Amino acid sequence: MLRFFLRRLIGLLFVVIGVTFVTYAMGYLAPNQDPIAALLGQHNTPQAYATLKHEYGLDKPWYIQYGTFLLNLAHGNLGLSYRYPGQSVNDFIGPAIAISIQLGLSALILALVLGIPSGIIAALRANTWVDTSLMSVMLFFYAVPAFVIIPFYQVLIDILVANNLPTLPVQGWSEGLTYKIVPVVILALTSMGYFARISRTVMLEVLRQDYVRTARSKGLSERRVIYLHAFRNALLPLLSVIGPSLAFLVSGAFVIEDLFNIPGVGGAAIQAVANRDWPVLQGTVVVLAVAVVIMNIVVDILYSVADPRIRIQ
Amino acid sequence: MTDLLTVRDLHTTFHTRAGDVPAVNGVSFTMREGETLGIVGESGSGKSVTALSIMRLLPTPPAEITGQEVLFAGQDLLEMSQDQLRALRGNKMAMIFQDPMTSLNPVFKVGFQIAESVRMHMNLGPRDSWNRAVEMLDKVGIPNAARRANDYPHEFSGGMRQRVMIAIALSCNPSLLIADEPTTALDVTIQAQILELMRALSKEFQTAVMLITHDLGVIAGMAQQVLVMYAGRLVEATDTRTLFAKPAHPYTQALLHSIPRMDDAQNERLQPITGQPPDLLKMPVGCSFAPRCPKAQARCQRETPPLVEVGAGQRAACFFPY
Repeated sequence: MLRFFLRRLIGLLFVVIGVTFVTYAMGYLAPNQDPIAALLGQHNTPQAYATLKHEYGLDKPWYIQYGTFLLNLAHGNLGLSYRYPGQSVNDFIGPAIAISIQLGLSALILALVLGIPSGIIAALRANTWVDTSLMSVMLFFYAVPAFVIIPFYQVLIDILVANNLPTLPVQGWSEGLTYKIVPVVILALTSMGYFARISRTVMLEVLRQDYVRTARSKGLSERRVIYLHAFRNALLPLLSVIGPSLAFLVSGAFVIEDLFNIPGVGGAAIQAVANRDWPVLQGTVVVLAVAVVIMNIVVDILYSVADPRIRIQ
Repeated sequence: MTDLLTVRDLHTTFHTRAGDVPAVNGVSFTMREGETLGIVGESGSGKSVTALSIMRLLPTPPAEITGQEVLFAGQDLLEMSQDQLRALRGNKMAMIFQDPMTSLNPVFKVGFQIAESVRMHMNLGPRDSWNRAVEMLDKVGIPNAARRANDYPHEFSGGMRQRVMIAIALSCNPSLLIADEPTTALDVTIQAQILELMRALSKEFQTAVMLITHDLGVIAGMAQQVLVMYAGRLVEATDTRTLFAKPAHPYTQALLHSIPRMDDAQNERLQPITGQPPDLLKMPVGCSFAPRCPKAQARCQRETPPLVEVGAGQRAACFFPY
């Protein structure tokens, strides 16, 4: 178990170095205006310019800058914003992380809770109208991106309002639970469609296995055969696709946070691009990369718990 | 001995896109309590489907099981609801399968997989059913049974897994054990051990065994009665001694000629049965073995021979037996 963690932590280190190096290089090479001049604005004197440039470390060669960045990162310090004087990147994205985790995890759980049972139902009724209609709906959600769904939702709101029916708010994430429903549902749709289709395939495969026939030959109830003996095995391939699908969810979150004005990491990243605020962008990318890697480690641990053949030594 | 299982005119048909496949076509036989009945035949002859039809383990559709009756301990299995069948399966009638590598659930401990069955059918608590599982593992010859019950199937070899399957099957003291090619996937020395184990335990538990195999050697060593199947039909039914001494059906004779004999002259060649078994989708009119039969005559191409008494305790479906 310890060796497993060590190996994965070393892997995480490489991911962080890779991700930061690429974003750093992009920021360094981008034809941006001088951030120091922009920060000083009308107070730009040669004296002040030199002081501030030194404070930001921009008077050093790039490899020293990058090395300093990594060193600070090791202490949990993501650097200073180019856009807002005196603000650190940590102040910027600290609260955003909590919001993004809330959004991402809620969407993931919703996608699993709706997607997997749909897939199982479709598999049990394979090639009937239940299967076909359920899977068509799931394919639609899987294939159509969130920014296409949202206009549909706008139309729905218009219809509801015209008929004096209650609607769910779409703006104001922090104001309460009802404000969170629409963004979470829309973010969950793509993954839900994906999990439903995978669950159906996996379940059909598992139901054909010899040990399912053995379970039936023991006289177990159909419910026990399907939900214990078959599903417990279907869980294994499902777990292995959940890890990679998190990356999907993260990129979906960028769009959703931006469209719904949610002050999360994705929204912060898009704003940072608009502001040419490279340290903030870099910070958000690091945070997201680390989040995806950690979730994958969690999935791997769950996998080894679920499959006795792959117990972590 | 009283009759345990009476099968009368069993038909199992698979409705497929290509057409209806009559996998089992009018099979009738009787098994007595405690007796070992062998069913032989080549691949696709309907042996396994017969067994699965009796257990009613085939998915319907595509399968359709019909027949006059399948009486098990006086009850007609064809008339039973799924709930009634479940109460019998794993309890009074149990089954073991060909491939022990895939027949056990990989994610559960073997002890659990035995205890699960015991707990349900024998109404025992968790502790008692676990103890029964350990006891069964010990009975089927797994060393350190108490410790091994906590292991997962992948920690057992193929032969050991088949022992576990036998432990599951016999855990509730069934009166009928159906063994569908239980040794086909095992190597020869392990085959002998597993057969010996089945023989000893079926005697101890007084369990009747329906032994499905394509290996006549296994039949010779294990069975008292034998059914020979060809293309979904019974072609011969008799006791084991008569089958080897005086086979009636040309197919049985041909099968016996196609196995090597230790006492034969060194360079005598084996006689294969020429041709292929018929395609069940396009069954020939008349005797289904006629196209491959050395004794076939015009009548064999026109009429299907019924399974009739040809000697004392010997039935064969042939117009020209012996």
